[in-house]
Order: sequence, then C-alpha cells, then structure tokens
Amino acid sequence: MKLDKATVANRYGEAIFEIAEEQGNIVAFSEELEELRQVFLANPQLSDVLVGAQLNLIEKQGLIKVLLKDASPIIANVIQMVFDYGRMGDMVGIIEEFERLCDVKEKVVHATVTTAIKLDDDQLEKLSAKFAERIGANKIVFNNIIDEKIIGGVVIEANNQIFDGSISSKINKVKRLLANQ
Amino acid sequence: MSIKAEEISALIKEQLEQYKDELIVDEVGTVTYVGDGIARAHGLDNALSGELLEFSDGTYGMAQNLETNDVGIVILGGYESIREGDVVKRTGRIMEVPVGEELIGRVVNPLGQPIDGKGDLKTTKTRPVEKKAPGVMDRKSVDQPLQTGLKAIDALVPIGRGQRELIIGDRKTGKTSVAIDTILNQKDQDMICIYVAIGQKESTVSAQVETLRRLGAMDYTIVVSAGPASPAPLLWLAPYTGSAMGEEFMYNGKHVLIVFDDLSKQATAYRELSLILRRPPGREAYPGDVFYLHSRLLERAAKLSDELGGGSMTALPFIETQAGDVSAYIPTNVISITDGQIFLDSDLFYSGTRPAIDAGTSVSRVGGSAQIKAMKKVAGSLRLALASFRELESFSQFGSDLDAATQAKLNRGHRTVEVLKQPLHKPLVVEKQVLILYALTHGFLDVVPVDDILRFEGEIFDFFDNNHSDLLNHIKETGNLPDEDKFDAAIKDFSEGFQVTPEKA
Repeated sequence: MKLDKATVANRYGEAIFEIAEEQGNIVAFSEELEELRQVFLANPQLSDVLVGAQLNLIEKQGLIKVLLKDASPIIANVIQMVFDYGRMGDMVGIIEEFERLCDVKEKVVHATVTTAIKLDDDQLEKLSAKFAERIGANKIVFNNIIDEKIIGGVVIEANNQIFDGSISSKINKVKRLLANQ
Repeated sequence: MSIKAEEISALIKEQLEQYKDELIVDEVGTVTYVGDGIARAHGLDNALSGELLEFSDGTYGMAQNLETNDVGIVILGGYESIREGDVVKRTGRIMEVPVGEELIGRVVNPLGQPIDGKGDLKTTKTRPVEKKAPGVMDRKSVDQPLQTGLKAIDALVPIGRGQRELIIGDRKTGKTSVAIDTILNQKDQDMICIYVAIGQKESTVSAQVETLRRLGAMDYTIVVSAGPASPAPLLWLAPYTGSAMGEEFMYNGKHVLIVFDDLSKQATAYRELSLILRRPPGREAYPGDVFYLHSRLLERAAKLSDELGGGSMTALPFIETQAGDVSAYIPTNVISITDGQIFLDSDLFYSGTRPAIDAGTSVSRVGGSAQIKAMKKVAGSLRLALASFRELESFSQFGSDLDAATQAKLNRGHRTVEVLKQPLHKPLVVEKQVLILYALTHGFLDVVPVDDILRFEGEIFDFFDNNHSDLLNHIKETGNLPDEDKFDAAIKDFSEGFQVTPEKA
C-alpha cells in the first residue's frame, strides 16, 4: 500500500531533523529549507512536474540542478535523495514536519490570531508574552488575521487548540443560555 | 395578556447570572475526508475513543479510529454540509440520549429526537448510549415469566424476564408479528416495551406503530426507528439508544421488553462503516469485532439483583437468515450469545402453521425456571410428543397399516399442531393457554375433529369465562393447576355439549 503523505513527511522530516541536531546546525538548516519551501510554494506546479510523467528524467534532472546549485552539501543530498525516491510531491510536507520538530525543540509556537481590528506591535508583544506564559512556550510567532465578524476580543489558534475570547461567541453563549430556558 | 417588562427583565437577569465570562478553550482538528457517514480529521491529538465531537455546522460525530495521523469519525446525522477543511471540536463528553417516562408513546430516531410530529420531548434526564453491562454480582437468575401470549412460545420455549431470546428465520416468516403480539400482550403487565426498528421500511414501521396505537399498546411502548434512508451510523447506533432508554427503567426497578428488529441489518451497517473506516475485513467482510458489537449490546439485558431494585430488561433480538442458513456468521454469533432461540420456518409458515415456530430447533435455556407451575405441568411433555409426532408423520406416509397406539399418537399430534396455531394480534392470557393445553394433554380433544379444534377453543374459553371463572382465576393467582377433579369435570361438562360440525357429503 502507498504510504500516506503524513507518514512520508514524518519519516523524512525526522531524519533531516536528527542530522541537523547532530551537526548542531538547526538554524542554518531551517533557513535553507524555508527558502526551498518558498520555491515550491511560489511554483505550485513544480512538485507535480517533478513527480509526473510530462518530463523525462533528463529534463527533470535539469530542474533539480537549479535547485541544487546554491544548496549546502547536506541539503543538496536531501533534495537529491527525495527526488531519487520519487517523493518530490511531499517536499513541502517534509519541510513543514522538520520545522514543527524545530519548534517543539525550541518551544516555539506558531499561532493564528484573529481580531476585529489590526493589532499594533505593542499589543501583539503583550499578547504574545501572556499567551506564551499560558501554554508554556518560549516564543510565539503570530499570524494576525482581521475578521470583523468576531466583533471584538481575540481568537487564538495554536497546537490544535482554539482559545476563543471573542465577543461573537460570548453573545452566542448568552443566546443559547436564554433560549434553553 | 400584556408583556410585563419588569418580570421579564428579572427573569433574564436571573439567567444571566449563571453566565460566566470565561475564555472558551477548544481542542480542534481539521476534516481531511468526508463520505458515507464517515469523516477523517487531522489534529484532535487528545481525543478519546468513543468521544463525542462537534463539527462546525453543529453535527455531532463519534471518534472511532484513533490512528497515527488522523482520527476516524462516525458522523451522527447528515453529512451533506460538512466540508473538507472544516473544524471539528472535542466536547469531552460521550454520546448520550434522552431517557425517561416522557418517551413512552413516542417514536424517536437513534439520537432520541422525536420523529412522530408530536412536539418536543420534555425529558430531563440523559444516559450514555454505550454503557457497561451489569456485572456478575448485580444480577440474579431469571425467575419471573414474560408471557408472550403465544401458546407455542409460552408452552414450548418459555421466556423469562431478563432473558435474551433470539428470534431467527427467513424473511416473511412472521418474525415481526411475534414481537408485536408479544408487545400487545404486555398490557397491564407492568412492562415497558421498546421496539427498535433497524433498517425497516418507514411504511412498515408506520403500520406497526398504527397497530400498536389501535390496540392500545403505545401507552407503554417507545419506538426507536432508523429507516433504510438513514446513514449507516444511525442504523448502527439504534439498538444502543434503545438499550440506554430501557436501562433507565430497569435501574429504577421496572421491567422492560426490548425488541431489536433486526440485528442482521445493524451488522450490515456496521460492516459498511468499518470498511469505510478502513478496518480490516474478516469473514463475510465483517470486521473482527462484530461479535463484540452484539455481545456487548445483548449483555445489557439483565435481571437485576434485589439490591438494585430487581428490575429487568428482556431482549428479543431478531436475525434474518438467508434461505434458512443458520450457520452463516452473524446467526451463529448471535445464537451463541443469547439464552436460546425461536426458529421460524418458512415451510411451516406457508403450510398454515402460524406462528411458524419450529419446535424441534427452538430452545429456551433459562426460561423453564420462570414458567408458572401450571404451565410446566401441562406443557412438560408437549415438546417430546411433538418431536415424536413429526418423526412418525413422515414415517407413516409410507404405509397405512398402523397399530392403534401409533394411530393415537398421530391423532394427538395433529391436534397439538392445531392447538398451537394462533391468529395474528390475538395474544392469549396464560390461564386460557393452560386450559386448552390441559384439555389437549388429558385427551379431551382426541374426539374433536381437527377442523373443529379452533371453534372448540373459542367456545371453551367463553364457557369458562361464564361458568368457571373461579378456576381460571385460581391459575392466574396461584400459578398452580386447580383441583384436577373439578377441572376435569368442567371440561367434560363443556365437551359433552360441544356440537361437532357435521361432515359435508
């Protein structure tokens, strides 16, 4: 049976992370892989082309060469190996898994903050400090989304959890409380 | 009537006082697959098996498969509005359904929502659908009879309160009629009946409900229905819902009769979900735990010990066989779980023996101890006599030179078969069953022509109602046979006056 994407990403991501850890070079690795990820995200058809049958091997290798050009030796090896095993379609997943492992190690949490109005840096800083304390993280990387539908307050999504302090859900709660009686 | 602003605002204030302003923290996952009553979701790291989950459109689901990368969820309800990428929330609860007296007389779906158009249920209590069955020390052995009102069952395969008796047979052999008649006979018996229809046509269920209502049985009956158009998870859930509703009464010291019509459709629904959940298929493509599916359900039927109130839940599970094949997977499973089975035979059914109970293969492993003494006395030898009659009958077809003893046995056999026939929806009280079986086993019917047996039966009941109701009451109250001389004399009195239909030339 074909392995599913998550399993593939877990295996490769973990392997890369272990090498990075051994070499004590996690930051450099993660910067380089992030660049690679951006390449894949900017060219959505790239992974399809590399996995698909439109191009023959030589043409594909040409594409790979471009990717390998400025890569450090180990990252180059990673790209070459992932390509040789026909897993280029899972590259983004692999990098994301690697980054997740880095985050777990550094206790960095990526969170999405939804607010009705845009938060300024000062507010974000305060929120970040409070939230880090609450979930026991060292650092929070926020991604701020503006959504007027929540009326007011803050909704934070992180680690498969939603911390909902929005006015709209409070109104809903009151609504349900009154309707139930 | 006018609106009084002050009163209303006082009420609202009171309710709002319960409102606590706190941060809502939910654990969530993302739906990655939806289809055929199943969803898969990424995330939900801490979800527990069997936990209730809420989709963003308000539909509930139950966590079933906890895997490395995702969670397999059974969707309870419509899945048309769930989309890939939707959020699924943990609720921290397990699936519960409303229970209580308010459900009696209602028709509900497996989620406990009314589907009979009679308005909201005003229930105050709920119970988890999956609950561990009572343990060894919580039970006691079955000792009270459950009168089905069917002569063939009460005499040959008696059922006790708290027993699990399988009703098995091909399609169109009168399985449902046995259940409906049994429910009808529970009138004034301090019983609450639950009829769980699993994958039965809505028109059939509607006809059954109408029959029950017309004959006054809806006053003590709850109908749980999952039609063939419901998603598979609801068909799978229905018997558990029924059991939860029954348990509420059982643990309050009451007696419950629950009918699962039928478990083969539930097994099929469970097979469907299991295959879509990618559980490995086993024999007949059923998943490995299909035995547990039925055993944990039927184990919840029990006779509780006196410390727990002595309530009981009697289960009548149904299994539909294909062409009489009882050695298929699901029939053998359920036969081994239950305390006996009533086998309905299509040949008997079409030859006019209705209910079409096959006395040879039907057994009740515990009901005998719950039979009343009078019935035990008159019915004790019946099964053997019937079995030897069947043997003789096929044997006697070869020759006509039979000795008197064999001839007598055959005669008695024909009358026994005739007596055990019973028309639809005409359950019979136990004292009258005892009366006719007594007349049979003591030879009073031997002189009555086979065609007249039915008329004889009807008339002797009227005769006893009018002239000897004390004898019938004696059986009813003490459970013992009345003084044999008096009983014999009364029957003789009647049979001497009985006019045999003259034979047509």
